[in-house]
Amino acid sequence: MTKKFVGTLLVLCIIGILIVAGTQFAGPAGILPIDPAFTPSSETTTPTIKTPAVGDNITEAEAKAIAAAALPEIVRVETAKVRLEHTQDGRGEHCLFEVTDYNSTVKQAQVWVDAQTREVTGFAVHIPDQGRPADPAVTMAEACTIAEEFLADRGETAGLAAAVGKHYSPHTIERTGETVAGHYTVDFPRSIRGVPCFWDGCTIDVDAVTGEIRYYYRIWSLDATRCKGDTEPVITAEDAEERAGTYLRETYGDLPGLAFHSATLVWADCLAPTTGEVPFAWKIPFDDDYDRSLDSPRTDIAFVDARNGTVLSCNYYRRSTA
Amino acid sequence: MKPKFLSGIGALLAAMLIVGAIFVPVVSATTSENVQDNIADGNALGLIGQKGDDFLDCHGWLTKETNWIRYGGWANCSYEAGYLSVKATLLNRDTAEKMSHTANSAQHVDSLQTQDNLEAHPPAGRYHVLTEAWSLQPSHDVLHYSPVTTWP
Repeated sequence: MTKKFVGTLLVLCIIGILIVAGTQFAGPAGILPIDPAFTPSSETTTPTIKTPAVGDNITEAEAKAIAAAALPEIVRVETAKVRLEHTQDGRGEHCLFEVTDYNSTVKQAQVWVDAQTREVTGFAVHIPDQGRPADPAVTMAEACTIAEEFLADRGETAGLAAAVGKHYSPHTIERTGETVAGHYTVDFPRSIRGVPCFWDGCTIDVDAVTGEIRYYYRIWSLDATRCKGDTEPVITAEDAEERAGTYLRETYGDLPGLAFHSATLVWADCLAPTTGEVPFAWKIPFDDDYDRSLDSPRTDIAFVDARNGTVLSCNYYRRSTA
Repeated sequence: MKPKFLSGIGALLAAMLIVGAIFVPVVSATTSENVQDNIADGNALGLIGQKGDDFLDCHGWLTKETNWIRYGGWANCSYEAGYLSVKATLLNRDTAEKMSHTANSAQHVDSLQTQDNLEAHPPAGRYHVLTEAWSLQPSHDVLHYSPVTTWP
């Protein structure tokens, strides 16, 4: 009788262990499916993004408070929303709080707050385009001055090269198709030992009608100690262009209308691995008849090592549908 | 004495089995939800708070993949709109080029998203997505910039 009872108990124990083990290890299969539109396809090679430990980040409430302090006339803690944005790109992994306040019909804003450093890395101010004039009331030179004053007020001029007036962008009202005055984009590349970086720096949009700052974004990720060696080029700009042209012809064949535009020396942080020395290179914008024929004309970029003339990057791409 | 002792062990084991059967699935389910949250965050879509009394909200996103930038956008209304349109445009910050776009529109909806679009081998630079959404009945407009992503 006793043996029978013990035997039953043993069987029950084994069944119990199997149930517990099965339930435990079946966990991952129980994950709910993600919305298909948000799921990378099987071709996707996006690296897995780690979610930072909670203790490493500021809180949503802190992010709202920082954003409200940055744009007090637009962003209010009571009405702001917060999203956590993960970005994985050539600079590594970033975690930003995006604080938005769309409550006002006059001005709306987005503010990006670094989830770990608390730094405001950027903001955008949106105002209605309806009723704006067709032509700018501000010149590019005035926009550059406004942008310089803005950075000076923020105490952010250190380590930046001089303002580069990049381009004027008119706005098209999506609802009506009407084109109105837009904004100027002014760049302030980060300068390391007198040479600008390709990625690092500040970019600012100045309203072409009111002169207000409409967009500000700061990228500052490069370790300056990785920019080594002489900053005098061994290869001339003309020589670099010739090498890039040779590479393009050998790789892509004859490109009708190929033209190079104003080569400049840069720290090619875009081509460097996450550690190690950053190439000192000629940045050479170029285009051809195909690029110029696109609805939004494209400018490609070649990078040629300024010390030994090696073509580091000379990416050219045509869409198959063109 | 011995039969009672064995009965006690049996009761204890039975109790442990019952507790295990209830407790373990609950813990497992919680873990699954956390994994789900992490995956959603990984796709830059972790909506944390969506309060406020504004009617229309839109959002654009982009991810860097091996041979292209994948991007898209969506729009949400507080309640059903007579018409809703959303357009996500990939912009090169360095050159102001509008690389390409993806859009969608529909009648009598309260949310809408674009199809994903791919921009293959774009020139080196800094990219972001401008998402523009507008609605009729009621009439609202909203813009959104994604954070900047560098390429390559």
